Amino acid sequence: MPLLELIDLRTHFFTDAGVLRSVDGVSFSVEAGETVGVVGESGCGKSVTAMSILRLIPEPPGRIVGGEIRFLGQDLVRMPIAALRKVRGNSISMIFQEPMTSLNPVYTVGDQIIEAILLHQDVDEDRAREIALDMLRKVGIPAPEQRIDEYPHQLSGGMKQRVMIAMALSCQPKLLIADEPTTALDVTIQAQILELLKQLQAEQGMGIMLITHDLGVVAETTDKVVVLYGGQMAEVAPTSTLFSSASHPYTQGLLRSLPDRAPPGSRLPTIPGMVPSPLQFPTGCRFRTRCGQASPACAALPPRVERGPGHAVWCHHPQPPAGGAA
Amino acid sequence: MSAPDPLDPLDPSAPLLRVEGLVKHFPIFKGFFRRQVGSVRAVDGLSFDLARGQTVAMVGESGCGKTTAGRAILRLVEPDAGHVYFRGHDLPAAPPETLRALRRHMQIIFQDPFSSLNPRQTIAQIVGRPLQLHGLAATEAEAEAQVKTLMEKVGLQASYSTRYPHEFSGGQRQRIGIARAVALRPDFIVCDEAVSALDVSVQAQVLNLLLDLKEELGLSYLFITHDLGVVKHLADEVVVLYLGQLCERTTTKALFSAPRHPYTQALLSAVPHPEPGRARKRVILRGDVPSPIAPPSGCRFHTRCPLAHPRCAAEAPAEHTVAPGHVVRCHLYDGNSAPVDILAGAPNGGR
Amino acid sequence: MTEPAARPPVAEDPSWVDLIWVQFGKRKIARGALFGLLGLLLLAIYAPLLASNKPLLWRVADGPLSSPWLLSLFDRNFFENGVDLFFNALLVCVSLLGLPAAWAWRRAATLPRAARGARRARLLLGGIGALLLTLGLNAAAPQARPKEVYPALQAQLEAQGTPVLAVYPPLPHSFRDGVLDQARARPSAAHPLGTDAAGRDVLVRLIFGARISLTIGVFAVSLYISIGTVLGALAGYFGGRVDLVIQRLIEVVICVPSLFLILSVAAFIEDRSIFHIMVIIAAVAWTTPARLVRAEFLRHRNLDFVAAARAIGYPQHTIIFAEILPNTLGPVLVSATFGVASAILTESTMSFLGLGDITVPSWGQMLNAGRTTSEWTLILAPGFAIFVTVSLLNLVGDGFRDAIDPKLRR
Repeated sequence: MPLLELIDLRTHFFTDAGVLRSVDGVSFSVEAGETVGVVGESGCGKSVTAMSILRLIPEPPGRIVGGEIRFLGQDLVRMPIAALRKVRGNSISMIFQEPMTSLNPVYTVGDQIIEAILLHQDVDEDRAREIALDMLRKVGIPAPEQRIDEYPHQLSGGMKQRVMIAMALSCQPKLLIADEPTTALDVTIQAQILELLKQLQAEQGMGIMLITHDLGVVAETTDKVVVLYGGQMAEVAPTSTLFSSASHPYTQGLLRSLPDRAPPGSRLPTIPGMVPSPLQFPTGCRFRTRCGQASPACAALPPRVERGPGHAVWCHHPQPPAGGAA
Repeated sequence: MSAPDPLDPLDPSAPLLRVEGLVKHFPIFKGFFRRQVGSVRAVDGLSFDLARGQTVAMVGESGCGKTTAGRAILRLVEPDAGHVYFRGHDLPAAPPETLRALRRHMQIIFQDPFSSLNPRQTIAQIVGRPLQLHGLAATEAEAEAQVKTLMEKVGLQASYSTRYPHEFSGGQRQRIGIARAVALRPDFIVCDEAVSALDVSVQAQVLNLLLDLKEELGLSYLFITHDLGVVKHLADEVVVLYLGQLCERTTTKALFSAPRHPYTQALLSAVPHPEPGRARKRVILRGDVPSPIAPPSGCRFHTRCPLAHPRCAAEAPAEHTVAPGHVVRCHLYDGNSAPVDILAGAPNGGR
Repeated sequence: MTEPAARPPVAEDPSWVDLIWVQFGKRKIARGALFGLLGLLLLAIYAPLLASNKPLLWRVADGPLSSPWLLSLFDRNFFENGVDLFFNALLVCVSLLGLPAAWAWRRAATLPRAARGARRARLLLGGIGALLLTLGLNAAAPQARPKEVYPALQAQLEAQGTPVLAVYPPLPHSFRDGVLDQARARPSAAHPLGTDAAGRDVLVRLIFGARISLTIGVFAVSLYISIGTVLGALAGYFGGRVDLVIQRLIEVVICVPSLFLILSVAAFIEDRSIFHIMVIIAAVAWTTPARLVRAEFLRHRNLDFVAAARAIGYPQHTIIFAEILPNTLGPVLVSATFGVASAILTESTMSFLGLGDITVPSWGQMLNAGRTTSEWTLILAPGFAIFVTVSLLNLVGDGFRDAIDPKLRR
């Protein structure tokens, strides 16, 4: 049984301007000890998917209108909110992009971690402080005995993200959802944080769902990649397969447009047009308005096509692997 | 008084722009009497040349002063010391009237496509008014005709010129910013993280546009970015900054094939590559970038450098030329021009 | 769902002003209040048509038909106050040009955005031009007709047996001259709200008081918004020493309790007119918009579009007034709406305490006059008028504030 399984998840937003089908049929799974990358451009629904798992989307206007979120066999979508609170921050934790705004500026770092521990674990305050110190040490914060009583503004961005990770992992979650955890950080700090996540995963055996737009981060840290476009599944594949033999025209276009892979100074192959607004998604395959392979058949919902072990693509015209690029 | 310009504007082989010893410190005031208690040393003695038709990339992490350097060169912030020679003038010493006339020849593209366009002006006003200001269009109608040509050049429908910025997507706004910058037919453009806020597929479109415009209009770019993938793709030369000071300056090819400065090496190794399973060793630097208010003594990188030795804390390194056009500011290259690999863990002999 | 490519390229999304207007329209209470204010403005403009002791039509026996009412509109002996002359000019212009102008304004809505803006700007300029022309003609050819009391004249003529045709406005009373033998009359058919101690009709004075209150509100606020905006813009844009000086100036003004300052200054002025009162209010109240604009400038001056304007080489005054200032006006507009309400209240307070302009029928003066009598209508009527006007203004201000807040967008 997978740790987390999304089956045909649909989250829509009901606004005055119309219904935004931000997530419309997303299915994938995360195993224990596995890192799954969820990639796509802004508006592809990757953050809404993450928020839906813990049912953190603002309601109204948002609502999960269909599908299942199975966490250890339980359906989180139909779980009573009281039971869900026991899952949040305990067996599923989340870290966000902005370490600057995710910590409450009026409490010390220690207070915030200790409160999270007391909420979910049956320990007294002294023990909670010990656990917190232990976690801060584990995430590589120098002089944790001193840092624990400092306020968030006294810490650098990288340190804050470490504190967020310490807080998220203090209850030994089985699943960690990381929403662009390193986007706001410098590369040398990003390298530190990714290394830290890898090492903590090895120790605690948790599953990680890593949401990012950075294909470099995906290539280096994940085992499996889910590519989303316009709130729908485009492709899912083991990481090395995705980078060597992507089959969806969108994935291929995305990989081709990376400057790292093109000869210096050359024109980059691009995907024409831009991501349509969620109010104006085309019917059927949502990529068809920008796709070079589109045919009249694409007006229907694309079928799921198996391309190999763990590699599936949602497309009417799956492509052979792009030659030579990787 | 303005120093004589060492660049000959008539010599096509002379650099277009020369920056010499540029310094910008932001004072920090405290208390009721606004006493100065210190300063943020954003840029501390930066020198480089920008050749005609070339792209120089300025890279570094946040707080390294690359954005301030870009703005000090254009005198959008007043530099505290140093020279910027451009078109026969030393910009920091140029009188306001001269500077205003020179602005036509140097433009800037910003990172944030949302704050860089005035929300109360239409595209025709944003792109067209500068034309009238600098006398490139005599009438409003003439400016409008030019705006339409420019919009088509940057890949926007000309009929959108009466719209307001909020009606466009991030990528389209960045195109408008580019149209505004190239409208005045400048010699060089500072691109301040111009593609960093864009999605991958849009970023590729905008990079292509920048390359096309460079070709077509003979532009030179000063490309400020933290994205080394972009640097590798379009820069001819790279300037690496750390805490307001130069670390290394060389051609892009040399930088990526044989980086010399330990910081450059660490930076390159930290960048994740979209190629899974690529076997490589990674240096993970300890700690954070120190505060530019109180930068470390000696070499500013010594607190995080795996190869630091006592001299680094005591004495600031000089610029050492290790190969033609390849400058490194590190004690390891004092009298030694062979590369020192920080992955090897120890400095090579000879010192 | 339709193809995204099928979108016509000519369709224009609304501009910022359109967006605000649509948002404002969705707030029913605020929209109602705005209509209420519009009604109040029309009431102020057409006050002489509702209440005047000059007959609209007048004919003695077989003599020529004349309209003393029409001539009285520009009569310096009858309407001696500048406020009334201004409103009378407005009355003439609105009556002659109002409907065609409104029609042209609505028709401009179908034009493309740029042409629409230009057309509407021309209309507005034309309207202001017509008003200035009317005022100028009035100043160039001042009318000063003998003071004739037509109802008395009519009674006299009819007593002599001369047939008289006279059509009066619904309330045939002067707002200024009382009939002493009718002083302190109880409400009746002739005087719906009774009369005051000088025998003047309360309802008529209330209607003319709307002119005074609106003028004080609008002019005092325009005056101090202009001062405050310029000072705030300079302080926010330049910072440093300029900011220091302006900030200290603001602090000095707000340190002194404003009502005491207003009252003390007013006490020093002999022959207070309502223009003095407007200036005094403005001299104290400019700090609010100054601080607002300063804060907005501090927020905007570091945005990239300002850096872009400097990189282009725009002169400083263009950057301050054409680039940044339009972005700061939303909050200023909101505070101006509340400011009109508070200026009306301040004037009422001053008049009530006997430091207003005693020659005009302002609501505060009426309250003050009512205080000395024991007639409840004399206190309740102006009090109610102040209450309604201030409430309408505050509701409109609330609506604008919500409309410019993107978080409250509906």
